[in-house]
Amino acid sequence: MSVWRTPIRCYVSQAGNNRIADWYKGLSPQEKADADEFLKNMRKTIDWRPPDYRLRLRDGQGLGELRWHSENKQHRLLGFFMGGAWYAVVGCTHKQQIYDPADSLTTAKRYKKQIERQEVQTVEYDL
Amino acid sequence: MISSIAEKLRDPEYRRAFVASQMNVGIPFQIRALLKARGRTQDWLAKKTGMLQPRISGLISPGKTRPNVETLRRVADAFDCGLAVRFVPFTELAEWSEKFDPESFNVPDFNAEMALLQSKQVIAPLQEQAQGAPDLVAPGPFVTRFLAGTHAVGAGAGGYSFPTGSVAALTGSGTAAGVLELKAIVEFRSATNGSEHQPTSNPIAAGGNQSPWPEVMSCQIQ
Repeated sequence: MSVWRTPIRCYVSQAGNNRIADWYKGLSPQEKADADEFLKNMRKTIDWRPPDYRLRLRDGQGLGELRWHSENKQHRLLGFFMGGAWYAVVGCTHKQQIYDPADSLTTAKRYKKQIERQEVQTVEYDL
Repeated sequence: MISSIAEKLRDPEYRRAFVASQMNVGIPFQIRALLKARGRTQDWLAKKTGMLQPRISGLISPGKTRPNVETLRRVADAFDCGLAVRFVPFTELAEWSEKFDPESFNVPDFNAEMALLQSKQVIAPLQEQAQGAPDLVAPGPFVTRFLAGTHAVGAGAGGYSFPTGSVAALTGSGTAAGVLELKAIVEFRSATNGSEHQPTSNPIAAGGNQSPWPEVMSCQIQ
């Protein structure tokens, strides 16, 4: 059984939708396998640092991003640290300084505030 | 987690992807862990492998490159360690992936490996004597022959300071005589150090990490 040194939790909307699970479902099999391997190793890692993790996004209001490549695309998982866990709020891709979906950062900032205000639930990453 | 992976592996497409992810994403974590464990930099690895630094950067970025076997062989050569490429059941691959720990993964280089084997060669007879039990960790015939014919291992490898001849005699003795000889040395060293401490049990054999006989690890055989 693996030891998760840095647990990851997922944003769940007020309607009960796990947004990270929704993002994961939209990935191809190769993207899913790569995300699984990457996130498993990151959960076993104590100190997140570049190139895997960017701690502060510009204009991110405390958001950071996990970064990896899969299927010739740069994948991102936006989130933040709080109380010993990392909270994943939005999954997306990144190309030439632009997120896809384009509103990923805006959405992530909104979700972050909702989690901090305890307006929504989170669940442990278990995809 | 294993059950989750087992469920996903039922999908043939995911199975194929899983194998690729072990190379494209898993290997970079291994290389980075080795660099960290050895206290080496990307520049060092670039020089040792004869590759350009950006290529090394790609090799340690999860999913960025698809390293081929020849590239991995060159990396293994730089770290002076082996490279296992073999076909395995999916469950074995999944178990390896599950157990892999990026914080503690390390592979000793050849010299460190030999020093480790040598230390087992010295400690195993002590464990036998302490427990009166059969050999638990003694190396097999190949390793014994290898060590007996290797001069470097007795010349301070791994921090030991036994002269080569003494170690060869110890390893070649079939342990019984060697145990008595080594124990005598331990006691001798204790006496000359002015210590009256005589170990009555063996924490190593009991699963402890610290040797009760530090003098064993540093004594000079006269």
